[in-house]
Amino acid sequence: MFIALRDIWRSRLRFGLLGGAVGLLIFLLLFLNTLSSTLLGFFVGAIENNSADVLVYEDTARRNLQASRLDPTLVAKVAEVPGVAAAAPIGELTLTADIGGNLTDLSLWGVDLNGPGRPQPVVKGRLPGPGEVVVDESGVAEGFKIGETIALVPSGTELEIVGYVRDRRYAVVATAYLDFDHWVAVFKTEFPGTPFVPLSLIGVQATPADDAAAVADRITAAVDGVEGLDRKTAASGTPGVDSISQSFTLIIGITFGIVVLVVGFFFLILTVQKLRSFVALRAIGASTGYLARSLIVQVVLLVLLGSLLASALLWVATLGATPAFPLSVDGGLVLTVTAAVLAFSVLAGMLSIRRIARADPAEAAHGGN
Amino acid sequence: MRIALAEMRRRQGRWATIVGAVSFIVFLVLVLAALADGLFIGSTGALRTGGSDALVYSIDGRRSLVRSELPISQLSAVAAVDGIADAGALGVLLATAATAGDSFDIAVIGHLPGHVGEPGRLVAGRRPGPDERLVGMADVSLKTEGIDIGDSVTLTGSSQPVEVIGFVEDSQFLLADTLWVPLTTWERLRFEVRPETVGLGSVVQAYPILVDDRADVAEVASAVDAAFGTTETVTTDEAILSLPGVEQQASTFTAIIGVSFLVVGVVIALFFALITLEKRGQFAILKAIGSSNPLLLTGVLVQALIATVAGYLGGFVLSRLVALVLPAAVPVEFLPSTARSLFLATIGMGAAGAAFSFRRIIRIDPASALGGEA
Repeated sequence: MFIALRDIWRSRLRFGLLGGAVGLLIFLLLFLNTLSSTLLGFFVGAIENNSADVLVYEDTARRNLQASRLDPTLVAKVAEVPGVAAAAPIGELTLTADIGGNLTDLSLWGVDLNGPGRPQPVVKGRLPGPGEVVVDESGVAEGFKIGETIALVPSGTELEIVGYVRDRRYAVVATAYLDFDHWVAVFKTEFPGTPFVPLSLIGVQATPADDAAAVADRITAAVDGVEGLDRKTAASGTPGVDSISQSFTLIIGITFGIVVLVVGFFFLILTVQKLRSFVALRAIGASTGYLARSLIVQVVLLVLLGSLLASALLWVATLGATPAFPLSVDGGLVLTVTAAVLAFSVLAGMLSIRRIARADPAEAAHGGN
Repeated sequence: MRIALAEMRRRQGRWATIVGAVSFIVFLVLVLAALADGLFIGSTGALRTGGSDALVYSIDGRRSLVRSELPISQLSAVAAVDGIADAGALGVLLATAATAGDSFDIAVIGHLPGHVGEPGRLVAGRRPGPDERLVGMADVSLKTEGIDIGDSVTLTGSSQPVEVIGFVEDSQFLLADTLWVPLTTWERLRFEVRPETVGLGSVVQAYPILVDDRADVAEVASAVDAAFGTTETVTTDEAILSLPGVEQQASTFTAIIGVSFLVVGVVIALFFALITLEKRGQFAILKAIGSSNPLLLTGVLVQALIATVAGYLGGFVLSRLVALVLPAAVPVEFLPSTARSLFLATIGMGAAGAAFSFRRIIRIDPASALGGEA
């Protein structure tokens, strides 16, 4: 331990550079993880965190909410399926909205305020009444604040914001929820002369005794033209989610591999450079275990130093974040990533320990390597 | 120089380490860049290859090709604005479709054949004539759905199959496969698949415009907006960056790639710092027998360049191998131009990393070769 610390102190430059490289790579890992979860949350938060246990799509919609167009009469048929405690219509429209004089995109959801799919919990304010909406609180940065009035464009329909929900954004745009009947009125205003108002989804609450996935399968089998999915399956099946999550998994995996390789490679070089000293130490009685522990201490300190640097860099990055795209230092994530990097770096350090263990202390007598 | 090369030959294991580390980082950078390029190309082809200088949207559509609504009756008035050489029309219908097999997502894009805005790269078959009905050109990406020339594509909710008579490339829209049909066909499909849009009348989403050779795009755009008062005209480049997520994706990937390059520089600097420390004695001897600082620094630089070139090649080969097994859901596009830029950037970072050790080498005292401190 003493030797390990003295070695680091006397070789500040090389350990500083290695710590810098590891820190930058861990920062990349943290940043990519944060970016991935924020992006996915903004993309399908309204589905993944929906209050309905099961979401029912048109079977040909390929799990795309905006392509799903259901006949309103299907709500009653879905409600009759065994295991369904309640079923309610859900409509979604993406519109242009005027908020405080600025035009912006808005995903407007019509839901049964007492049924599955209702915006719950309302984290601030109250449930909407006629002419009112609750919005996802990430929209605050775009001007969607309690007390403000949204004017839909071009119809001019006005909706007052009376509450916030959390993690309920959809398609990366500001998202608002209002009573289904009022949503139907908005739809008819936006599409004058429409022959009918199609539902985007049917929200289902499963009976307590039933598993959501099983109820979803039952609905798919019992009702023609629909596909029932539990929330998680619906969120991961949304077009584009697969591309995003697989792309990020790939990048994060490669970055993780590079961190471990860089740590492993460089400790191996350091070990080879110091092999003569290790041999001498073993010749005067230092055990392989003692030297191995010294090396592991160095790896651990280096990764912790890198992790600290990475957390600092992530904190700097959060200064540039906006409420519309929140980036935060997640302590749990930092710990998980650090622990994973630490574990694999120690494993990579085993290459160096093996090298030390194989060195013959007798070589110290004739100066060989 | 010869000493530098001889050293690399004699200590291959040591140099393989640095080449390996650089290879993996270059591999990461190349995959990231391919992903960034793939996302950009797959999202923007429909606008990029249409040959337009600018696009006219409705103000309330906020440059969204899906939500902008312009009456088709206004097209002739737009085309008559001074400085406009040609004006076309674009309409987008996002839908699902099926051939004989499974269903798939598709963007049906209505256009005016023979006018600006039609996809520029026909690679097989032919374009539809202005008066043809229910025929279209498919993006080559639709071949993966088993579609070939002569096949019919039927949208979900439609009873009107569209016959594919040609293939175009680089014409995707927001990562969706596209089917390009004449505007009249597009409207028929839209009214059938989205009956609620019947009440909106004959509308399109944008007018792509081509300006005269001697006209200024910004001035023509201003003239269009001033003439109608309800439009927002932006250059095609601005329209591309306004597509959902495109600008954000580009800036995010640029930042990640930048950090990765920084890591390349730091790793090279670290490696040469270690090597220089190890060789202080040898450098001192070389200086003592007359080697100049520039000679030694050139040797280090040559070693760094060889290591980074070898690392780049390793990363390049690795990225191409991984591309072969990537799932189809990961939209990667390996472009030669990107590979060239990244090669130069890698070399630059390698040289910068090696330069980190220059000061240390210059400070080595030749007298230390006699046994003093180096």
